[in-house]
Amino acid sequence: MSTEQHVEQHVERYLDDLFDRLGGQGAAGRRMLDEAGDHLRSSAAELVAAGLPQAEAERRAVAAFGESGRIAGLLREVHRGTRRAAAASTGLAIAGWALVMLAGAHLFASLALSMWGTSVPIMRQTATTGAVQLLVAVVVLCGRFAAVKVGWLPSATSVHTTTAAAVAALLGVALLVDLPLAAAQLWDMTGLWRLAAALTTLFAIVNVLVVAVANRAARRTSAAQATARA
Amino acid sequence: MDLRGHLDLLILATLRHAGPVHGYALITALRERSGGAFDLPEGTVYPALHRLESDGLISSEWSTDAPRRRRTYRLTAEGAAAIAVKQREWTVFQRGMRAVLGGTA
Repeated sequence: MSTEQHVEQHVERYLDDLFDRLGGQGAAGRRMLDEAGDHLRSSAAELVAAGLPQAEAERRAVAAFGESGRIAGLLREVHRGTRRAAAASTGLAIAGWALVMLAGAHLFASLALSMWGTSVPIMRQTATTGAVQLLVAVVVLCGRFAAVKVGWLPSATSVHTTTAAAVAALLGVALLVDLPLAAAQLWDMTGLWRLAAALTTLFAIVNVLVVAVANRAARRTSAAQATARA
Repeated sequence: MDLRGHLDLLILATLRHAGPVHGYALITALRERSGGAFDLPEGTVYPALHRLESDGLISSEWSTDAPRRRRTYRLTAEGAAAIAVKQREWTVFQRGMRAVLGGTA
């Protein structure tokens, strides 16, 4: 092993250690690692320019930077609140959009029932459920929007937010519509309720498929644009 | 010297004086301006920079004009306003310390 390769290990070994300790900190950890690498190399280069041998320069640069565990701990502390806020923001976005989709499923079912001229009470009850869900969705999404505007929550959400919302809406239909209906079969409920449930479920399933396809197309388009820019 | 509680003000004041700089230059400027008195573990400044950025007091971006990719930090308007507030707090603290220590501070 040459002297230069041996010397390089001072900084490299420190960065490897820091990388291990930054595990699980995502983008913040990666940024910290980049900044630490730049800092240590700049510091060592300055000490070499001042007349120190490369090995000693790197050793001193690493010593002056501080213990890797302490730095990783400080960074974790700083970003803990940020991660919680991001999770809350994403959770509210998923809940809000899931309620919009759930409301859409109910309103679609009530519209279809009204066009077929079936039971008015069942159609009205389905429409009322959808309208209430839409109202709650508006409150949740407006609340989140206001929290983002005043800086309490970050605005960024994952590309999978809408997919998660669509799946949550489907689960909502299963739990709020299909499961109660299955239980009601024991008391021989009217077939029109079964039709309303089937239409709601159909909308929720189609919604999941549409959202998944739309997200996939959006990702492909943005990847193609990134390639074209490069 | 223990800088806990004062590091934010020191970073903000150094950024105001030095203008947009990357982490290493900021730490060097901080050490030089303090005449070597604030010789803290250099790596601990980065988590403080991340915290100040998430508080909106500074902003940062990757600069690609250097041979290596570097994160450049700059003071925001909120950061400039925060310096005035923190400076007033520091003056009160300093006055109190001087009074308690009987003019030896």
